[in-house]
Amino acid sequence: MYQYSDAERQQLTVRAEQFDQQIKRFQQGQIHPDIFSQLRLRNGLYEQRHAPMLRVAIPYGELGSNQLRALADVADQFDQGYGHFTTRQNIQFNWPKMVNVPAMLKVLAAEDMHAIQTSGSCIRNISTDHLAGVAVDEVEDPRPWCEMLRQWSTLHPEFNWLPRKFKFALSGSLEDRALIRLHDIGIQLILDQQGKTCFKVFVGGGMGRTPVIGKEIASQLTEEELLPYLQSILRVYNLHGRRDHKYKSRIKILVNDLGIEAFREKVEEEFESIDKRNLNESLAYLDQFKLAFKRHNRAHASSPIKQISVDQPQFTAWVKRNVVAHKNPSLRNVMISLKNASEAPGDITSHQMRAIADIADSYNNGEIRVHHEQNLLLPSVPADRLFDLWSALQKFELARANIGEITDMICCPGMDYCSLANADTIPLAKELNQKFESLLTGYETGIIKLKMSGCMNACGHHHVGDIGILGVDKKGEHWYQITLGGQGGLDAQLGLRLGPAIHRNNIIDALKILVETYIDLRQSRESFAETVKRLGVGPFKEQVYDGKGIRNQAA
Amino acid sequence: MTMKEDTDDALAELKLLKVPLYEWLERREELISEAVVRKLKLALVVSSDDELRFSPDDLNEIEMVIIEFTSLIDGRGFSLAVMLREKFHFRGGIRAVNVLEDNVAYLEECGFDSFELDSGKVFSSCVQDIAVPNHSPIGFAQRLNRLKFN
Ligand code: SF4
Repeated sequence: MYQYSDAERQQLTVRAEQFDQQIKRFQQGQIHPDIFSQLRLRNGLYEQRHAPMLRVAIPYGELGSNQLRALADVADQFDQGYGHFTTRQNIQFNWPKMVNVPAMLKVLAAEDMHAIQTSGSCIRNISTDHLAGVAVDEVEDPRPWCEMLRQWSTLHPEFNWLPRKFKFALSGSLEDRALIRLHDIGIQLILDQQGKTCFKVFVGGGMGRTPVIGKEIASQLTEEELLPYLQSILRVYNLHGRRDHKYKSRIKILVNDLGIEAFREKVEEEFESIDKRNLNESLAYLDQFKLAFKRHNRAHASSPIKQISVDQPQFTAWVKRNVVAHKNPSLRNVMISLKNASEAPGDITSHQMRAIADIADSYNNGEIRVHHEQNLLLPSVPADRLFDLWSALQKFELARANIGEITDMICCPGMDYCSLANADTIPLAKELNQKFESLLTGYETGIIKLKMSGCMNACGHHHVGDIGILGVDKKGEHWYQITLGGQGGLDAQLGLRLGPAIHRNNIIDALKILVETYIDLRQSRESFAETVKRLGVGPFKEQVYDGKGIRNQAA
Repeated sequence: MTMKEDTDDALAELKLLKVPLYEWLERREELISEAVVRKLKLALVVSSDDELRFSPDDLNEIEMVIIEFTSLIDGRGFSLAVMLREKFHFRGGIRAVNVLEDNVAYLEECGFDSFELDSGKVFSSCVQDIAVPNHSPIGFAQRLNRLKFN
């Protein structure tokens, strides 16, 4: 893992002190509430339905065991003993008191963590593939570049007051697992003919109320061109992005309004005049960043390969669902599902955090990753220790074998916490778990990516779910719009609408019909997504609205 | 602390002839002679929503560019200053008007060297080399103490 320098540590303390001062000035009436809200957002502090919420950054989803323990301490001391992992690899605390936030930030700073730029109209946490550095299909580890972008974008003097929030995602593998085409800027690491690292850049992707798939703006930038090019994109956006309308101010709207060619022209004009030498001084640090990530992987390289042969159906099921191949054949990557039947998706107790920290210390050098699908990953576990690891996880209800299945749904906080929500999401997730039990034990349904958002802002990524669910409000009642066939990846696609919105009372039945229809129609080993691709939305629509016929109305 | 309060600023202001950008582009020669006659230095007043559609030579006679932020959360002025330094190689003063004290450290790094806060307070920068905006990751560490401005 990358270790902070003393200067970076000092900066976190200074920033926490500064925020403390800002809170005091606000309380003394010296800062206008509108301005204070901008300052507090840039320190990760939101106002929610019942209480403030603090979002803590987890740069590119990488956590050390010591950091996870600090998060557990924060949850116990300042919150209600749990935290919630988000779809951008961060963690949120839902019940802090504003006066305690500077103290929380100090606890976090002691373990090199912070909440800087986790909200507000600025460059947000850099996200990446949860399998970065350990994926079988990796071309190049994106983390050194993530770290460079993290340093470049943190407290960037020019881009702290953008028209709207701005999100980056990087991927260094053949398959994109970081949704790079659904970010404001997505970067794919590739190799040129000489084997040198290059970058393909997508711009203007995003979900929200106007979902757009990112367009390619540069096909092959060199290492020296990358930062100046990104700086140019941000500058064009900062100068020309709309500031008059909240819903039209993301870069995707600017790119669509100008057209990708005209947008590229503006970017390249800026690129010409940018002081590249100044920016590229940071390339001198690249080797240091690379070393920080490599050294860690090497520690396992000599583990012996042993066959796993344990006659335990539950363990076998867990290996099949939750264990992912590693680029080193003697190692495995282990997903920890945070989708238990009784908890909100992505929630984790402080007790579980400490357990995972201890387990990580004894199985994989204390390294933990956050997956954007709101689960955790233990990378680089020796293959011959899987059974012990599984037994250890089981003790803490952390061994549910459901990764990628319908019960592993992504779910935004919805009506339970978020003041923008139109409808429930978490209660839906819990009900689905109860009502699907018999269906799921009777059939092998495989991967079905279910993604739920409580409103158009799409924090639950519903546009790219095999099944997407969007909460809508009709006269104070909760209704849900279903979409099918969405996907992330380099060939990203937005889901297609199934039909009219469905009432809260019927939505679980509708989901059941979708899964049953798939079971009826699938050919041999076809996945849900493949069946939808082959047959289109039609047969599913028919079954939901006519065939098996739900009574689609309020009871 | 890298800022000092500009106590004689009121005086300094008197020696400036402030010219809005559109006027400068329309009747530059006239304004230059006017400044000479009145023994004033020219200050170009740019709004943060203006575009810098002129050439570096147009700034030859300009002593100071004053960038007026349309609001406290308008980030455009930051880019304008960087562009004045990097693209137009402007070495005169750049003043930020209507900005938050919390942003002074950032503004300074973008190339501003004097500030008129929303509270009305006026400051000038004591940083020696303001000509090159510094926003490489290396600057990240050097920025620390400036954030102590509050
Ligand atoms: S999608 Fe809507 S309801 Fe859900 S977290 Fe985002 S803003 Fe809130």
